[in-house]
Amino acid sequence: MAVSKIVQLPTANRARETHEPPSIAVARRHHATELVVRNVSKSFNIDRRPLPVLQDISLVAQPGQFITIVGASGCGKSTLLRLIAGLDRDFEGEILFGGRPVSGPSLDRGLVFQDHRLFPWLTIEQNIASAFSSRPIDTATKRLLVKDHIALVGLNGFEKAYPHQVSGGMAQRAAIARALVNEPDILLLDEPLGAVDALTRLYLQEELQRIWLQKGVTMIMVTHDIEEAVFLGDQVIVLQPRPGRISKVIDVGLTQPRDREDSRILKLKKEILGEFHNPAPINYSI
Amino acid sequence: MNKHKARFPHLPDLRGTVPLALIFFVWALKGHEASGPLFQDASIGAVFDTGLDLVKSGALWENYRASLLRVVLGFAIGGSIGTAIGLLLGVSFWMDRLFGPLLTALRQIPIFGLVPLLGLWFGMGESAKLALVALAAFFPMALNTYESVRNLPTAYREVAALYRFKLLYRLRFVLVPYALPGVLTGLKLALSFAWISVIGAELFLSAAPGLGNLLEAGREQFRIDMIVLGILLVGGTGWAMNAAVTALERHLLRWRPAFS
Ligand SMILES: Nc1ncnc2c1ncn2[C@@H]1O[C@H](COP(=O)(O)OP(=O)(O)OP(=O)(O)O)[C@@H](O)[C@H]1O
Ligand SMILES: [Mg+2]
Repeated sequence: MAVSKIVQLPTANRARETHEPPSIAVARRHHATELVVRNVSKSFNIDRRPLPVLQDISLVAQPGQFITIVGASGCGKSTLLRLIAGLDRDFEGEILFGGRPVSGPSLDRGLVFQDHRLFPWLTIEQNIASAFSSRPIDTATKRLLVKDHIALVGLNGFEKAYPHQVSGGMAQRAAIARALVNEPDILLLDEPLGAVDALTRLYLQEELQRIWLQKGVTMIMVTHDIEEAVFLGDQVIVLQPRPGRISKVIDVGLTQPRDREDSRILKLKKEILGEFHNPAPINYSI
Repeated sequence: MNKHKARFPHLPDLRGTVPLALIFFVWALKGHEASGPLFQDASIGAVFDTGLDLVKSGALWENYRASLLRVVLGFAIGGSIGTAIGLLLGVSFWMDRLFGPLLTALRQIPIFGLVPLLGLWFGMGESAKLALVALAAFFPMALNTYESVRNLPTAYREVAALYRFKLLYRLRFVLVPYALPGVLTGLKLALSFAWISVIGAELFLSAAPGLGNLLEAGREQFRIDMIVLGILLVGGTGWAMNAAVTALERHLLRWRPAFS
């Protein structure tokens, strides 16, 4: 953990000295940041009986890839992201990031929670800045980074607002900025657009895509919205509930950004929808 | 934002003073009658004159200052120890398990029930009075701090873990702001209890300058005017302390929807 922090530092400093856009800074530190989830199972104890929530989940996220996960409510999507983030270490199987087992939270792996979880007593600006409180960066760099990321998520003018003074969608964008400000190698997004209206949602999807293209960060995004999953994902993972397990992996294979009306997108959408209506029999003896 | 503020943005809300004004009005009308219904021969004028006399002789200030000093000192001791212990028990699982039940048991004892014991330990003089005031301030501070700190939601703990907040940062930017509303409620209660117990201590323990002393002297000398003056001062001071903490609250909790 300590090592990764030191590794990150020069990136921020270099960006300041040369005023190069963050995307170039990120591209430069392209090293092994592959995420490997191997045969992960997880159960919770409810009423002293184990309740299996995830069963034999395996996936690989290549650096810079955009993976979307769809699945019914309660099938363990948030749980999976929490395991990858390192917030919960009680599971079976293996989660490797950059070749090393995940043993706790790290600034290399960002997470945007399903609820925005901004601190209500901090302004938008202070909330974003809180993310690098544990890194020894000088104040000027911090200010610059915060400013950049507020602009990135389009919250200019709301720096000094408290979370209750902005809309739900804006709070969610602030949460995304907070997760991005450390320039993580991978960003885990838990239904980041779940709480916004349909119009804002379309707009924010494109924002997310723009940020992803600009930052070159690996993204794993959980969503209920199949169209969103296909529109954004390089790869779509479909989960089946009780216990949560992978029922289908779809490689979208279209370049980004995409056209929503593209017939191939619509076809994939239908295919995934079919997955929900007639779940394919699961072969447990892989 | 209430209706009044919306309608008259520049006027202070004085509605709360109406009942008080009514009492004074009745007092002014009826108070001059010998053996009037409220304060017998203590008319507003008499109380005012007594007040003026006592101010001139310096006796009022001497007594008032003594009581204020006691509440400040007692509150500083009891309040700070209470906050520290509440924080410790709230943060540490083990401390909570060890001392939580004791704290819960002790809080059940009415504070004035401890007067005989405090008398034995500290004598009947100044230290016993301070101990009583400190104890009165201790419990609301300790209990409110304890409750607020303990209830820090997992959601915030996880954010702190995710961004690897250091201990001091966690305290200053997560725990303290989260607990602050509860702690301020404790502060209000503690100040109010401390002030009540100052007067109580002055009445129950040995005589020394103080507002309690003024009240007692009034009783001994059948001076209703002095008693009424004492009561007005005690009440007014309590009100002012509460108003001061409310103002502090407004400032410190301005991030809350209700205060902005
Ligand atoms: N801390 C916990 N203790 C016990 N059970 C839990 C806990 N967290 C989650 N679960 C259970 O695990 C299952 C999966 O929960 P999870 O939050 O991962 O679902 P999800 O796929 O994110 O659902 P949604 O789409 O509604 O957010 C649920 O059945 C839930 O009851
Ligand atoms: Mg969820």
